[in-house]
Amino acid sequence: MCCVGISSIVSEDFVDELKRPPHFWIGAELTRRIARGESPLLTAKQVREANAHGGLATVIWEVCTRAEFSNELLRFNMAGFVEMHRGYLFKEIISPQHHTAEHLAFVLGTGGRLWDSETGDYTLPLREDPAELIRKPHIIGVTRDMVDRRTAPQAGSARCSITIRLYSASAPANSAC
Amino acid sequence: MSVRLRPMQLGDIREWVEIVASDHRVASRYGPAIKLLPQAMEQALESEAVLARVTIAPWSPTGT
Repeated sequence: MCCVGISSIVSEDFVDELKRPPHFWIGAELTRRIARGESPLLTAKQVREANAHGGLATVIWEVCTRAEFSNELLRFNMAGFVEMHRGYLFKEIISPQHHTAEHLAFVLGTGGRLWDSETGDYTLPLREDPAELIRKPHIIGVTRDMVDRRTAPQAGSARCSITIRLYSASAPANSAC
Repeated sequence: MSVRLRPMQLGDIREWVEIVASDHRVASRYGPAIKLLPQAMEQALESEAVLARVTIAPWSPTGT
């Protein structure tokens, strides 16, 4: 085993909470809450209902790679991530909290944006150095609305982000990628 | 390099926790909660709200 990627479909309340400062380390908080019986994970019924009506909010719990493989596996793992989530209707995906500036740059390149709690929206460019940013809890994510806005001008283009492919996997109308 | 993906299983938890614990950048974010990881992940893997995949590639602890 050289890498594990874990994503979790969570309640809207949990997403709202993690976006409000002070931010926290998502993996640790999920671990604590699940262990003490206060899981923010949706039930199977809630997953089915939200997947059929409105969409799911997904938080990547952790992507942990043995140090020997960190860079060479990034693209492979992202492609695997798309496959793993095929068939789900997402309205928001929050990426793992990155361990390296390179991983952060990679995810921003695929369409992720930094959550700005002052404006209450995802944004670019970053207000601080990526190497500093990853040292404290941060939220990088993307919403279906953001992808829809980006998809139109890119339709027919050879450039198509992995994030757009992910959202398109469950939306036939947007399957230009 | 031959690389493949498969769903994470209960038997993978111990090795995953070892990977987390061996990376100080990751482990420091968990703090004492790292001891709760096996219990939490066992519950999480039984949930339909968790999607987990393991990447398998040739690897040896000695780097050979």
